[in-house]
Amino acid sequence: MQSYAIEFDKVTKIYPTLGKPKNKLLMPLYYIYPYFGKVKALKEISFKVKKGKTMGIIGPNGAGKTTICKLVSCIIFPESGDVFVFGKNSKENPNEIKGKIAIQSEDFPLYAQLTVLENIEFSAKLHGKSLDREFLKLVLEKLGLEGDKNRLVEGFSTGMKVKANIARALALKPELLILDEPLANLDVFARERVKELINMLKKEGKTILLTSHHLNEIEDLCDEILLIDRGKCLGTFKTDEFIRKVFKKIGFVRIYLRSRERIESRYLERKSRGLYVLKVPSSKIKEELKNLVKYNFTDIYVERLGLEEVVKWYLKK
Amino acid sequence: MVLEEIRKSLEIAKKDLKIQFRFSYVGVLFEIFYPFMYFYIFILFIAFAGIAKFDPGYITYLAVGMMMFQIIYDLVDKIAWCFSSWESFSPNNLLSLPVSEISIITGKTIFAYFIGILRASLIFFLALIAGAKFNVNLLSFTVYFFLGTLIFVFLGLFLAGLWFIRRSFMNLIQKILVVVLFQVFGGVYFDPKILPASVSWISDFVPVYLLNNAMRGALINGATLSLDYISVMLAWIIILLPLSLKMFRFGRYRFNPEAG
Repeated sequence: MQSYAIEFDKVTKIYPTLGKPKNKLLMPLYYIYPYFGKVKALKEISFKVKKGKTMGIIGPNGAGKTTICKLVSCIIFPESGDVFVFGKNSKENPNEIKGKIAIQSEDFPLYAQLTVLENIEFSAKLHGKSLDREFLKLVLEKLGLEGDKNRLVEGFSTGMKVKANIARALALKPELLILDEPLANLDVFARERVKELINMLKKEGKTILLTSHHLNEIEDLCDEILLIDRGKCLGTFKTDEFIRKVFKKIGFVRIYLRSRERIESRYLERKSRGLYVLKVPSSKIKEELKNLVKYNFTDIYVERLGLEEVVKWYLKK
Repeated sequence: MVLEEIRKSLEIAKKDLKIQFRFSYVGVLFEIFYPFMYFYIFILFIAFAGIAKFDPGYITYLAVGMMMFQIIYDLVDKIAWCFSSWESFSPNNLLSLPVSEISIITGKTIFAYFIGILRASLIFFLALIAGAKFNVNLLSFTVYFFLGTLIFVFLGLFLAGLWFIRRSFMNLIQKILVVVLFQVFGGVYFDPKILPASVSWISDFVPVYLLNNAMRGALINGATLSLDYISVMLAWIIILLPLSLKMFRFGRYRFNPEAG
């Protein structure tokens, strides 16, 4: 039996981009079709995700996270190498693969002129699935969309559109769930509820591929981490080990505080419009938190590791 | 398997109809009055311009040309844009779902025919009121209609391939194709053979002209099936089938979501 849900075997993805042709004879064509340039979005990437596991892809902007999601969901295909999903080659069996996948991404918005429920039902019908109505109700309730399920998506705010998109992907209960920055544009409460729902599907043994810029989210949800930068795979790691190892090496946390009061701290990294960013060594966290308690702040967010530091750390290594 | 794909095609068509007509009474009214305005304005314009006589013969000629144009235009348009604006500016939406390209195209064809046939029917009744006289050969009409559908589906598919490669380029091509080739050289309002010989030959290479001629025979004169028309239509299908599939596949696999 196939034990891997996703296998990338030396996958390279090239996008055409603006650029002149190398062959001067083709120059007249350039004025009609100016995309003779090439950009390598992925460079010979190989990794595997076991069935039932959750893998988080982290990397800075332009690293290739969304390209990986699109390759797995058979929207695009690799120039070289192979993508296998549940043992099937994406080039040979795209529709069979798509039947087992649901994807949430900003690039796959809902139909604005349909209601949330109609959007979900349309996706389910094309997947050939009957919806688990109880689970759908739970998903909509958790995401705060139960009262808005019969409203047209076009009237929704950005955050609500993201929630509706997540609801569509989750409600299908797919074998493989692809979430491309699911928690971006969501408030703290919605983030927690989305995390709860993702954890429910994890318990049911579904495989999940998730991208994010934030290590905290990945740490909460993922079993494994794939670290990429500018189309190159920097490595795959077990989340716990990775966080422990890197945290120990980097050895500081970032604290984001929002306050109208002036905050004094020797660890202050930068401040702007009431937002204070503190870079505190791990050995001084308790001491610094005691210092901060006396201030009247409205919001606090502690980030154990910044993505930039992680990538820098890995490249140094 | 086939039934499953037909079911999916119907779902796509149903979804498109919902998007097109929902909550838009103005949209529905427009669908009704659009052929009305189009048909009568053209009759008056052409009659006043002295291009043709305002008689039942010409009204029937014009009605068939416009009925075919409405159907063909919608068909090519919906298929050419099947992964773009007709998908609510969400080109990836249908691509991310487990539905074959054939089902998507069939779904779009059903949707296009719903609107196209609605418009064509209105033109037909308006033409009858205006004094047009039809003598329909149902068999010829059905065969030409089926073959014409295939030709224009493949033409739409070719344009969809172009859309994947470069949207603005395809847009320009479509405008030229629809306005110049379909309307002027397609013989919708007048026979392009009345144009100077230096340009009128173009119409021989425009499939709309071929279909219009065949349909005028089948709907006005009750003409039986012509082997000439069928063989030329089949030739078009044989040329366009591999060409459009190649173009579509090329565009599909070269698809760069960021390309403008």
